[in-house]
Amino acid sequence: MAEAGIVAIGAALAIGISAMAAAIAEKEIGSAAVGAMAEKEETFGKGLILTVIPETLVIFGLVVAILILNLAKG
Amino acid sequence: MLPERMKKVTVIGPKAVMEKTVKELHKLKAVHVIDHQRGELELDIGSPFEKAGRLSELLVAIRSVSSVLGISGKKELSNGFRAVGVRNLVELERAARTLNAGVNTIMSGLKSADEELKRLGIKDAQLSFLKNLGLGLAAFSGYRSLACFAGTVKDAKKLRQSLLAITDRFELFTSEEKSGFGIALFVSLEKKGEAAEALARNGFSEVQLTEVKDLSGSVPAAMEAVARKKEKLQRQKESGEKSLLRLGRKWNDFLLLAEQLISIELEKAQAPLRFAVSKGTFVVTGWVPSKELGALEERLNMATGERIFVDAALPHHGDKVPVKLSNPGHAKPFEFFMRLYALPRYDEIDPTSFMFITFPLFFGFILGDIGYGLVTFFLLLWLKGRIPKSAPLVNVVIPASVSSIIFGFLFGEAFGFESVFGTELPRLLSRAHAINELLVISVVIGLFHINLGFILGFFNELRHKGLFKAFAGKLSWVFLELGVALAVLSIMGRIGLPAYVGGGAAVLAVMLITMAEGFRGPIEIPGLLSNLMSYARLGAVGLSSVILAVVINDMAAEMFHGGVIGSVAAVIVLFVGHTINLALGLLGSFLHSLRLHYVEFFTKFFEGGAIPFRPFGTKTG
Repeated sequence: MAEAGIVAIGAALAIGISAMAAAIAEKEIGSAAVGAMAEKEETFGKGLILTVIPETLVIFGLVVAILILNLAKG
Repeated sequence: MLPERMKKVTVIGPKAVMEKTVKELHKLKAVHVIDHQRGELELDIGSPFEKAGRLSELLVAIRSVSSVLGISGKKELSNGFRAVGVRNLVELERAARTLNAGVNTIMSGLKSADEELKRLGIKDAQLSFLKNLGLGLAAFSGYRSLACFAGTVKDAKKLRQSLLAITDRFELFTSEEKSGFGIALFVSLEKKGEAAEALARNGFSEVQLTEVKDLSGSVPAAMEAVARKKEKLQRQKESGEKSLLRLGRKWNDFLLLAEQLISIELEKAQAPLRFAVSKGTFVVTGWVPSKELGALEERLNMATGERIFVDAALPHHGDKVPVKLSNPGHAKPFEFFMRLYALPRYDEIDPTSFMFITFPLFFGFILGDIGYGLVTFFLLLWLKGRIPKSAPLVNVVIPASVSSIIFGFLFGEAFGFESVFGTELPRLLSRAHAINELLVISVVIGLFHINLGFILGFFNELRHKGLFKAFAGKLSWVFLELGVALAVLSIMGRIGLPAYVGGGAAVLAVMLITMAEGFRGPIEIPGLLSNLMSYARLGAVGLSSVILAVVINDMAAEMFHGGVIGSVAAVIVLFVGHTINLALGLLGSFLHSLRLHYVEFFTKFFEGGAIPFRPFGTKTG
């Protein structure tokens, strides 16, 4: 049981830390994008794309978390 | 698939029919006029029609009156001057002038009342300063051997001490004011300088008694007079404001309509500024949708008595053709996404019809729940009726909510429950239990979506870069994926091919990509992998919404065991919980589906950035 707990912590760290990293990156880009949008409304599309690029980090975190959980099962 | 086909038209005619042409073009609303640049074709720009000056003056007057009266709302303009209630421009000008004069009188009355009130306020303050000190109006004038000071200090006691140190021949009146003390000091003239120094040390600030200097009589009587005057002015001001409100109500529609009408007339009157003119002729160049060209020629000829020449040409390479999207009615709402992002260029595939299929698909896959889908569907229908402005957005999400109901049946979920009234819902896949399968399906969907993007990119590049570049730059990516897949499968021993077949194909594809796109190409290869993984969000975001729904349901189920109070609490938890989860789910599904299109899909083929088609005669801003 203790082992399952450690596996769970590992999975949580994988997604938690990557989510924090994505959040930090998106914070910077997002505020810049909103600034650009205030100047020029047409930049919405580009701004959105740039803002969500770091989101992929979380997806990687999720994949790793699921791999860890599967590892524990097998 | 491509935006509306356009022709570049050149309309040439004698100046005598220019006004008629402008009128007809404005009515047709089919020509996107290109502004003529001075010096092009050795031709100057035209000068506006005579009445333009009058019109713009009138427009300024109408707008300023509108802003003073706080005119608001919307009113459709129909049948020109008659809608406004006048027969022609002269009458409209007269009406606007009368109204303007009336408003100005009231405004200047209000302004002078305000100024007077401000002055009275100062007077009042000065009078009450005197009253607090217990002094009369004449206390400060008519002395020959006395110097007087009036003002405030921080501490009256200290002041008195420092004055005593100088002389004992003074009189000091004090009163408590909001911050410190009000004082009036009378001191013999020869000690004036020293007294001033003592005052300065005690933080003296002078109170000017300018407004009360020439008054006579008692202070309370003067104050009463001020109060009476203030009241009268206040009443005047109120009645002025009321009559402004009355005017605003009465003239609201007139001003709204007149503003629109005059802007339109002004646009027509200034249109020659966008034309090229020589001594006797004018030239208009612009873009017109090919299918409206015939009507344009016919109408212009009819209006001008065949005195006009219309030439049409196909767009040249490098022309900045304005883009009008042309999609079948059912896909039209999805043009919203293109306007939000960027319009496709004239020679680019318009992805709207693809988004019509894939957007609801992704949205439904994420928010696949019968209950949430139905609630969203009816909520949106209601919203569309209530707020017509939300229609562009709602029309996009309604198909998406239908798709979410369909996916709800595939996943067998209703408000997070997998069974309803004790019967298990039939399903193809249980999201909460088959997580790995869900993620694999998501990435496979992504594989199809991304490769669709590459294929569209191939057709886009084929049009202006030729077969080889289009193939090497876009389709190679598909072969790269296939090659890698083959190589991996052979290494794993699933297929009877040697690994170098797939590997070779992949290497060849990378070489082709490098040839077409330079070294930027191979750098993108890891990006392809992260693009693919990105589609895992289709499963992941949906999963989080399912789990949240299940948690809410479990919580409520526990509470139902707790008697009446527990049951009530459970109902509240269910309602609040599912409302929040639905709101989060809607936002998440929408943004993540959209992002998969904008970031993963569009980057494979889409450039965009065209200017929108804005025919002369439609509102520009």
